[in-house]
Amino acid sequence: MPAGFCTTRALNFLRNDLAELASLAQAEKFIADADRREEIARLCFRALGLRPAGETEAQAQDRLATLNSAERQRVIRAAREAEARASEIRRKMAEEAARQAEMKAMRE
Amino acid sequence: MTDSDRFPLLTDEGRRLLRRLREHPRAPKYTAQCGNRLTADYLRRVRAFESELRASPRGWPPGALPHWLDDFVEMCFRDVPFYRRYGDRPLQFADLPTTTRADLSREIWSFVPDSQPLDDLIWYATSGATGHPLTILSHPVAGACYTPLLKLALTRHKVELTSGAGQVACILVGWQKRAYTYPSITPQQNDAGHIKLNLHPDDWRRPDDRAPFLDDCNPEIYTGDPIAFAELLQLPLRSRPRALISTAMMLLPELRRRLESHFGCPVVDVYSMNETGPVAVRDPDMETWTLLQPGLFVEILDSDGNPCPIGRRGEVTLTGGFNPFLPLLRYRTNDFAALDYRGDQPVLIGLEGRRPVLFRSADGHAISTLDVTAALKPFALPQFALHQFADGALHLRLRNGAAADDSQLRAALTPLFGVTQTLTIEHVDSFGDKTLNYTTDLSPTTQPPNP
Repeated sequence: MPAGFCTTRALNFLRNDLAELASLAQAEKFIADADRREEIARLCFRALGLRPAGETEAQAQDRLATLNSAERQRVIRAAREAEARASEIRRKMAEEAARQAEMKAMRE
Repeated sequence: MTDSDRFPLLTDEGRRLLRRLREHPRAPKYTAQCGNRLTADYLRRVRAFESELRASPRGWPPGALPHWLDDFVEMCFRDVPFYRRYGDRPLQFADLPTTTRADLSREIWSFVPDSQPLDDLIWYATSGATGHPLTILSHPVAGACYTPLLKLALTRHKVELTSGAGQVACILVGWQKRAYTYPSITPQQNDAGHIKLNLHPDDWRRPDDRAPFLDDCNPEIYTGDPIAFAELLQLPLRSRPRALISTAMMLLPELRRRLESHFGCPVVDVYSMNETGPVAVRDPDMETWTLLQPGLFVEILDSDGNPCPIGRRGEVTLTGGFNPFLPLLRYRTNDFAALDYRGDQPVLIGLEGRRPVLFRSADGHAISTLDVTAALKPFALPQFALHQFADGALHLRLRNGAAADDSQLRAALTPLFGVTQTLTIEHVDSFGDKTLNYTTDLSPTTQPPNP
């Protein structure tokens, strides 16, 4: 067992940190996508108090922050765009419905 | 919106026909104004669809998938918000989740691809015959593609549509308390007329105007449902269409025979729904249904969502379609049939709308609705509903004016259900717009096993 390994930390990572991560991206992405794969590996290292060989503490933190925030930003941006598009479609639907109701009212 | 918005390609001849239909002294009280909204580009796309219908091979080999399916699924996962939420695409098509009318009903906008422009979006609401009223988003091109599909359906019955400028190609008849009705013209048929009409007397200035107006229009075909067709039989029409296209509801064989003999033309059953447009046409052999759309994949799934083997009945489940606002991925239709093959062509057999209801005989045996339909075969019932209560008692409702004697109906149903089974027969003025033919209070757990 490497120096500094702590069972409590490992369990905490598996029980809590991963749950939060699961809400941000699909599980398969953490295998198939290179950035997500690196992110989960680095999160695991951090949780266990480890860091990749050859990196300083500052370098490791910096790299993880970049990966983390990029993914969060991507998710937020995608959600925002999806909501804007849905709103636009609903607005067009309401316009069409109103136009039809008006046409019908004019005929009756 | 003006006529130039509604009919961007209107010719002088089309304008004259439209005016004649609108200002006809015996015309109905139209309740709406509706046009085709087809631009030159849109018309090109409709014509391309029609050419594709003629040229493309339909179908797929048994157990295989159509060649276009992979690209279609890829587009759905990339471009359609609802399907994107599935996450990564599974390797096997059969592992994709299915969708239902409830999904469409809840958030129809999530099915619109991101790349689909919202110009010329068409919106319409459908009735909730299956419990989920639905708003459908569509496009002028999708609306116009019905015509080539119905023309293809008619060729299975050796009817080629020939009407053009100055003539009325098609009248869609209904019989409802309230309906959208309007005249329109179709550039894809050389500006021939299309009219949506309600035969309900309240929709006319004088009910006696109905027959002379229809005779004057002399449409090449009528499309409608059995209730409207039964009403059409009562009118003193002199003109004769070349075909009747029946959609939406079950048409019993005796009513079909009367219509065919009265009008001297075939009655063609088309399996169609708002979500997909025309799916299949019943063949002249009356057994098989030929699929109409090259871009629509049909699966038959069991109640657990697994594909049924060839020849076994299950739920008709559809992927694809021609409406760019509504790409369907494994859409469960709540209609039931088996898939079979005639030569290299997949066909549907035993198609019956809605979830199969199992009735129970007095001695506890299961009775399929197909058997009830067969027992009612001799009667020309335009609309009926048979309900079984939890205690097994039966209640048959018929629309007033049905040409059927109660004692004959009892004699037809008794051999199925047993002489001790209670049966009440009620004649009603109206069912509302749509009614399910068969319903039961027996819960799935108290229903007898599949026969």
